[in-house]
Amino acid sequence: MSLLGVLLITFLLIHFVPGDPIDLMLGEQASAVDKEALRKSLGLDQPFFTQFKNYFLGLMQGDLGHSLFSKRPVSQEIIERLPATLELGAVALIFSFLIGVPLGVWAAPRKRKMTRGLSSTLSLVGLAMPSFWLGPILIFIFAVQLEILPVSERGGIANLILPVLTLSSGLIALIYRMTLASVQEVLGEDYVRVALAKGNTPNQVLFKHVLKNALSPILTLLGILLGVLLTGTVIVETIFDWPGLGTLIFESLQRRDFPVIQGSVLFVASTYVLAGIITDFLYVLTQPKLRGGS
Amino acid sequence: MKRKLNYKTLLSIAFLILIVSGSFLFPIFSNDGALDMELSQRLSAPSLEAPFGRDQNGVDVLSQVILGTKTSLTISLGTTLLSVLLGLILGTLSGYFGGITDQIIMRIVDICFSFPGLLLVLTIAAVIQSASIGSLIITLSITGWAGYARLVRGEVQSIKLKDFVQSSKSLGAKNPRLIIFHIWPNIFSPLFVQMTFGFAGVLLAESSLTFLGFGIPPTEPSWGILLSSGRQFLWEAPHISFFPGLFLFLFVLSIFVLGDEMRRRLQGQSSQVI
Repeated sequence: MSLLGVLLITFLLIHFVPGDPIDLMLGEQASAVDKEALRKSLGLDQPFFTQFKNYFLGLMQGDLGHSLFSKRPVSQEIIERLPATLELGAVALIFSFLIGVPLGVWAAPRKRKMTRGLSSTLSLVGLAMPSFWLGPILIFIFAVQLEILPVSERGGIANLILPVLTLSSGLIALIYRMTLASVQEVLGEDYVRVALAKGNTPNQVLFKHVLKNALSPILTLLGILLGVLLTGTVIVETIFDWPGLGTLIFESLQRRDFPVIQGSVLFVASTYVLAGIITDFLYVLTQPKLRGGS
Repeated sequence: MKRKLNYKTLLSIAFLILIVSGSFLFPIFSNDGALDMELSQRLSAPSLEAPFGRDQNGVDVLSQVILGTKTSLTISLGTTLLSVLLGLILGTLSGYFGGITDQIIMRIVDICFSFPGLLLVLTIAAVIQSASIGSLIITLSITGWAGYARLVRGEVQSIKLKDFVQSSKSLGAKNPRLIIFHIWPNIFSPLFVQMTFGFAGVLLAESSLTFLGFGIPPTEPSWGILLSSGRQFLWEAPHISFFPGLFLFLFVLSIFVLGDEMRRRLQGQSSQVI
């Protein structure tokens, strides 16, 4: 249902652009013959519903149309760019979890004002940090001044460090806050007090009783994280010249390459929606309480 | 229970007052030449005369940062108010009347939420390409209202069943009266807290759009433009992107800190993710 909506919106968006898309693509000076030829070849001379039907039928067969710029199939463009984005996204996500979760677990039982205040401020700092500021600063420090890391483009592990750091600052902060809230909530439960009263050390209780129950709500965050990640890649990939989906979207937006915009936006949004569904499913699986109904 | 303001909150308030009043007072006190190009001094480093240095056209970065604040503020305030208004009305309709109205509105909200983050806004902004402050406000509000609508709907649904609303209803109060005098005052505080965070979010979103070249036209002084042009001159003149970014960051951070504090005071919640 949502997917159909997404499809309709992306389609409408590009077809009801103020002004003629053909004019935008070819420029005002193009000859009438050229315009007509392009209009025909894109099927834009047909009525709206026929266009939508054709696009939908093509989509069912995995055909997203052809790029106006490179003339290659959109699906091929997306598949080519996908590995780079997956690499960057996966590394950033894993890195953020590896930092964010332990930090949250560590901070949760600590009630000292210093720790509490400092960590909450730091997490707000992470959230407020614009990636298009952090990225250039990191480039300036590590690539321009110290010359220990490459500036941009895809390559070895060294090339990954700066984009991953840039992309992770917000993610780490989100994961940290969620973990903190979740662990703190569980720490207040009766069974934790019972376990402590039975003579377990706080660490035993933390690892045996608390974590098991506290970590599954973090799963629900995955949807939000993916949203942050997918938007983040457009900016971060642009800053670091990373040849992924983000730069594909950016470039085609600049060139007004409508089939590619449509295809890649549709692709990213569907991934996002599917991830949301899977997250919900996983959450129900990990929460026996929610399973009862069916 | 009254809590004392901590230094973080005070610092944030001070920064916000400084920057907001600065952006409005600056045009009065400065001479007209604040944005003049001094091509002989292009890319020059921070100095006494130009504390934040000059950009690739020799324009003083400090003046641009201060004037850019006003642009960003206008857009963020406009977007937040428009989104809240739309969200409040549609969310109330949805939560109060339920049924088919609710179904339709919530489907639209779902669709808005199926685009990750900025993607939809980015696409619309790039496709429309008539970037003025007004069109940017509308573009950002197209997806912005959905979050508020969802929040308002949930609150309205729970409040309309409360005893004070029901008893007023049984005394003969009509729907508009119930909504305006009994329900709305009670959703004000969560809405206000979300507004603070939404405002900061718009601030970041607007700068991101402008940074990518789909936001405010480069002729207006703005943080996003400085940041994107600064990127090209990172080697020779890192100050062009450093200062506007720092201001954007501190601005957003101060609002976050205030929002957090407000959440604690208004709702008694100490921690919540965004």
